Amino acid sequence: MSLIFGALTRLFAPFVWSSPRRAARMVHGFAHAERASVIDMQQAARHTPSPARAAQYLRHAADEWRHAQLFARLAHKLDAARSGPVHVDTEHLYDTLGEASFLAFVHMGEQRGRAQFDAHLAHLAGRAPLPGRPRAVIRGVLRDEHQHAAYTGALLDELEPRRGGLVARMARRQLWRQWLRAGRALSSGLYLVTGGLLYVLCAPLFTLLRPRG
Amino acid sequence: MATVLGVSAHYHDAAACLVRDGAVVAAVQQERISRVKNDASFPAAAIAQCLRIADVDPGAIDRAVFYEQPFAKLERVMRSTLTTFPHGLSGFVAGMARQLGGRVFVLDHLREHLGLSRDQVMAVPHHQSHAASAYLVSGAEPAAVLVVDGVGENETTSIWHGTGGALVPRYTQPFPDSLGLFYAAITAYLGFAVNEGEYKVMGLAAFGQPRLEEEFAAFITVHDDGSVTLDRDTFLHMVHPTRAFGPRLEQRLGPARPFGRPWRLFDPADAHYADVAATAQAVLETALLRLARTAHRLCGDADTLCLAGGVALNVRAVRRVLDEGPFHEVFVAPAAGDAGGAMGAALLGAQDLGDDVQRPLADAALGAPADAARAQAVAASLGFAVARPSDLLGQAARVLDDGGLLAVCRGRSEWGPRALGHRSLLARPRPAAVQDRINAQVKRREPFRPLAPVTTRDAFDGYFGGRCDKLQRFMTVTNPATAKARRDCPAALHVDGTARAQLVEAASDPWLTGLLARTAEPVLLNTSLNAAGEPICDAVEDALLFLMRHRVAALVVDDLWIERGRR
Ligand SMILES: [Fe+2]
Ligand SMILES: [Fe+2]
Ligand SMILES: [Fe+2]
Repeated sequence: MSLIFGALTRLFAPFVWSSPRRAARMVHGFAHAERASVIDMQQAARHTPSPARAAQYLRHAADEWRHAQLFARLAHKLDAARSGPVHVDTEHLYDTLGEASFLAFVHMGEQRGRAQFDAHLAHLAGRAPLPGRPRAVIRGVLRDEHQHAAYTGALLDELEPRRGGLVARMARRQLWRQWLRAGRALSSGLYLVTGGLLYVLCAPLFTLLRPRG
Repeated sequence: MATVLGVSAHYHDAAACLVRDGAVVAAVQQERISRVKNDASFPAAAIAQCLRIADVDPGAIDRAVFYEQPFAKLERVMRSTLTTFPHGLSGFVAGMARQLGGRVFVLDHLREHLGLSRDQVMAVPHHQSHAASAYLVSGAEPAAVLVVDGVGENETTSIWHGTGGALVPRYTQPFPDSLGLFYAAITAYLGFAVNEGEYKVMGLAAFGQPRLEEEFAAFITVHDDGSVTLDRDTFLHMVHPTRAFGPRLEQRLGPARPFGRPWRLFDPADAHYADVAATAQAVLETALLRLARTAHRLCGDADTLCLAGGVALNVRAVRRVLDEGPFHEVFVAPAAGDAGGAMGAALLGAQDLGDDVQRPLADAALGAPADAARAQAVAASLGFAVARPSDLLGQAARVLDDGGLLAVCRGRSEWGPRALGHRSLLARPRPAAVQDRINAQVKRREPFRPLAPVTTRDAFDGYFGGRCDKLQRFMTVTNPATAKARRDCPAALHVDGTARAQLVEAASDPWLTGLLARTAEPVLLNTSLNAAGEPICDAVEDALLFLMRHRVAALVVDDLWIERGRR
């Protein structure tokens, strides 16, 4: 899966980095994702029965927090207008998945992130430096992502020695999430049209009924 | 003798509150658990936390009460957008999506989530929840109750006569004329996030002059009774889902300030925005003062005014009401915003089941207790130095006197937006530069957002003028600073010479009063324990993460002293 992700990123990287505005938008998206990971890891630290794993999750959260700040700053440097707030949401992953599946999910996310950042680095190599030094930022972040993938992999081996099944299940879950996301986008488009129609149909009636004066 | 759960959700600040036999036993805001700032989602985690704190299982809940009536709200959204055809199109489409996407079905959701029967779940009106959250815990009898917020189902302002535990409605102002939404629009105009940046407008106001009254008069009229009329073409909350104001406002006041631009208060452009904030604040204060007079007239026998709703969080306006209004006493609940509605709803539900729910709230520490054993184990795994000093207060006082920052996470977490010493960052409030240091290292706040002091009853009058009463317990009013305060705690004062001071008493918090007895001066700077843009820490893991990310001298968890040692 991370292979596909890396290939897709390589395909789109030239297009994204050719405009500072587009690049800033993407980097702002990174900040968003990192912030969401802070929350995931913080929830995990709170819920895991093991203090040792809680400590590891907290270290991970602290890294992601730094990444979020680095990316938010980079986005702003690439495009001064890109300074909106980084809003986050949570899917309560630890709660819904349980610790082993949560770890598998995070582990795969880290691998995907790694593939993605590798592809961006490959594209940026040898090109004229951009404001905010994205290469240096991404390289720094990438070091942490390697470590995140490694320790979550090790923990996963500890908690679920036969992790193959789990990883496959989480990969399917990730696909399902993407599918749902696409479905939501489509249905909200449809809703927009029907909602608009409903409004146009109902409004004249209401205008007639409205008390005057 | 009932167990009742109150819930607020789906607008902003979702929360849960558990009342047993008429007494509040737990109250938790969803954001503290989920770690998503202003989390408005269905508060499953906060509900679970309340049940855990009180050791109640869901089967023992007699009733669950939602803090507003979902269908009345749906009706208002439909009515306001349909009667403004064709401008209401986007408001209709977005509003209906939100309502039908879950909000309208929240009672069923609650019922299923808790495994209750249909008649065990009820909804109470939004403003009544607010009113109950103040009156029933104020200890005042009788009382006038004034609720001012953006909008509930259809009310934006309401006055209630609280007598014998009952709330009798006396006055309402309906949507769309709303003091709260007016202030929200100015908040958005100034480049702050609505529902969160209102504090910033109030802080910024102290840097400006209210000299734009004429411009404001074109779009807001404050009537003698305190009600307001808003210009429908300037404010868009009737027709638009997200935009609070239209081009008319910019025609009057100049272009809106872009989000996130750093503030330079001595720049003429930013000085103008400070004047906008000052004028908005003046309008708000005038209206609130007039509303207080109306409340006094309508509830003739009441000496106390209870305030609730988002506008009651405006501590400067509360000070004006206290000083210039007709009431002897003013009470503001610790969580005056929508989170507080959960408490009001729970109390109303318990009252409906026959419990006596009228009793003063002694303490805002209604969340989960800090788990020191867990903190010790996790901190050890992190390689931190953990000790249990024999004289922790003495050690803390020395660190503070030497200019160190001290994070504390002890006892139960606070209910409401203020940290009152249980999840706090403490510092010596002098010299004035301490404020800049905290803002630069931790809070990353704008320069006009003041930090607050905490002191004891004995020392209070030396530091602060103005009346000292119940309000200072929950940090819900400002007090003017004396010359002594300007010397001893300049870092905890606002530029206008006031402070949102907290008064702490030995009976409710012997630890903090004990600490104040040991520091060089009996006053400390007390700000909430949270990183910029994050909710206040709740569990010990949150506090440890704070310690990992910030340069503070130590973290105190109950009797533990934790330092970020060498691993
Ligand atoms: Fe990361
Ligand atoms: Fe990572
Ligand atoms: Fe409200």
